[in-house]
Amino acid sequence: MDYKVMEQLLEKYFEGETSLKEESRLRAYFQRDDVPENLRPYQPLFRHLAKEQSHELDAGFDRKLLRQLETTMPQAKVRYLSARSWMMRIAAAVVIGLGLWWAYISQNISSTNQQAGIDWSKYEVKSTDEAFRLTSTALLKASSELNQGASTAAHEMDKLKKVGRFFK
Amino acid sequence: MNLEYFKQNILPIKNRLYRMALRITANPAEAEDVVQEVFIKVWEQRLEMGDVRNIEAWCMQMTKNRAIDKKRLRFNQSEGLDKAYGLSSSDHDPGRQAELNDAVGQVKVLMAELPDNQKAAMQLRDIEGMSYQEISETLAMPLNQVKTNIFRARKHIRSKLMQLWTIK
Repeated sequence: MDYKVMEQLLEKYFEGETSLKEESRLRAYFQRDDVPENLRPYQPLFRHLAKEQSHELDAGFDRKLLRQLETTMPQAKVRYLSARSWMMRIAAAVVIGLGLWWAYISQNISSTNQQAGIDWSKYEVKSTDEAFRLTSTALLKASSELNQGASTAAHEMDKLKKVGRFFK
Repeated sequence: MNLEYFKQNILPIKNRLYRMALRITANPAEAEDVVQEVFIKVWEQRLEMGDVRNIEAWCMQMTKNRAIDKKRLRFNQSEGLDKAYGLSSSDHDPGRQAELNDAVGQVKVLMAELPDNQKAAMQLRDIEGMSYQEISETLAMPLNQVKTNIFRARKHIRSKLMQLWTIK
């Protein structure tokens, strides 16, 4: 009975269809000495597997290891970056550097220009006559600009009337 | 991560890591050193471990890499000695010869000769007792590929076992 079951299990084993429990059963079965003749060719395989499973480290290993671990400090966490990531970081640093440099330079230039280019003392009005003259000149200029604007508008209106007649 | 968390969640995987290292180095002392180094690394990097989605898979991967490094280093050193004393690999490995004469040892050799993906998937399933999902995460391999690799590995071992049995 046992032999028939084992024969079937053996077939399942070689088809790769046995469970871990069934495989354990096969290993245990083949440790016996009274294995039937037709199953004997497989006995060395299961004896070998059982023998391999018996290799174990003893408790002395645990003690020695744990003593060593208690004195071992953890390594600092190291984060490895890819080459692309490094390049991106360097490129970003260069762009920021250039931006800061450009901002610094342009600020220096404009403040120098402002300081050097305008001498406001030249434009200061020194007497009431001069103030009157400057104001009259400014008003005359404004008036002439307005007149010019009105004549330009009248001219444009004439053009529009001509175009309107063309489409009638 | 504190020491209590480490004891509860990380330390219990020590035997899985040890067996993986042992399969690669075939040297118990070296395998133990590998597991210790991996655990110390986890502890040193405990501040960053929150970013690791599957710590067990991470530990397995690191164990595999370190065990391969140790094996390679030993191989290079012994190769230098062999050349100096004019030895070939078959001359000074009586253990391997005895293993080949033994049926269980033959299975070990058969498993070691499987393609890497098949070997890793079968070992994690049949020795470490992992579910298909856990294997998929540990090996960073799609679930259906895990199943296919295990199926092919078992099928290959089966046909070799039958050949060996027929020869006997």
